[in-house]
Amino acid sequence: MAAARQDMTTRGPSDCPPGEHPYDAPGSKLGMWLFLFSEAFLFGTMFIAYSVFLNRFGWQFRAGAHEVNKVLGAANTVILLTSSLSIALAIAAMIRGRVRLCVGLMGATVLLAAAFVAIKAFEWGEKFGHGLYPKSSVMAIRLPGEQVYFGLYYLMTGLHGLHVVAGGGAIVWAMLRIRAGRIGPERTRVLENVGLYWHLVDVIWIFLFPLFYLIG
Amino acid sequence: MADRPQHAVVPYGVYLAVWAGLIALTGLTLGTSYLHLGSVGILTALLIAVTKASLVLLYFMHLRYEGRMYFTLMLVAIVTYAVFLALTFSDYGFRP
Repeated sequence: MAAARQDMTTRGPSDCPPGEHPYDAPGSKLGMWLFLFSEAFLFGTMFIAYSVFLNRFGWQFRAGAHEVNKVLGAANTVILLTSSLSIALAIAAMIRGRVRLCVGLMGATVLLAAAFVAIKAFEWGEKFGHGLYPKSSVMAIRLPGEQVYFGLYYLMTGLHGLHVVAGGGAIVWAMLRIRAGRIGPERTRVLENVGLYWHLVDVIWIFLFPLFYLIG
Repeated sequence: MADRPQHAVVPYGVYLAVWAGLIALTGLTLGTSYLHLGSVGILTALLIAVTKASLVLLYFMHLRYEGRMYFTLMLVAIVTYAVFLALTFSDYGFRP
């Protein structure tokens, strides 16, 4: 604790040229983690809503999960896990000064993010095609538990999907920062923060996958 | 202390091994879901998910290489969430 506190105070903004943001790596990392905790609690409250409805509707709620495609969910899990690996390797490469390898791996991560969104869009499209969306006439005659299941399914996978898009955008932004020379082997913190965000998106999906696809 | 490393230099192989473990656990959780174990199945799936999330947090997100401050932060977050969950179910769990 003492070491960490000292660490945060030794690097002040005093050595920062005018008009530039100070580079405070430990402070930046801590700020990122606090943001990630708030993100975790945003989804955490929805997971509590999920557990309450699962408890209340039981088999009715679980019946909804029979209609989502397990294999597509598993494929998207593999895609996100692999993208987590590629961004972790990208950062490891940057720390070792291998900038081109890092940028290549970041590009691969963005492609995997796009693949995830494409599969998700296909899944939603298929459900919409069958009239399975909130407030539809098909949905109105479903069991209450199923309606709640699909409501939470769209809310939680939708919000997660927005996070995937934002995370992919952040990685592209970081690639531009590398080209501008603002992120490099000696200044990796911003890239590492983007990586942390991407891993959190992965962690949230790790819980969404079993809870929405595997409970049927 | 200024020269304390700001990031852990983790060998590439560690990341690859963690990824292989995550993929194996995904296969395991998908496989178990076909056994239709009911509530036990949900509990198993959650246990596997917690294991996977821990692997990502500890290795990909470097928590394993952080100091005590991050350990404490993590603990506070988990305990707070547990309190939320416990308070919610102290009500919903006992409704007729």
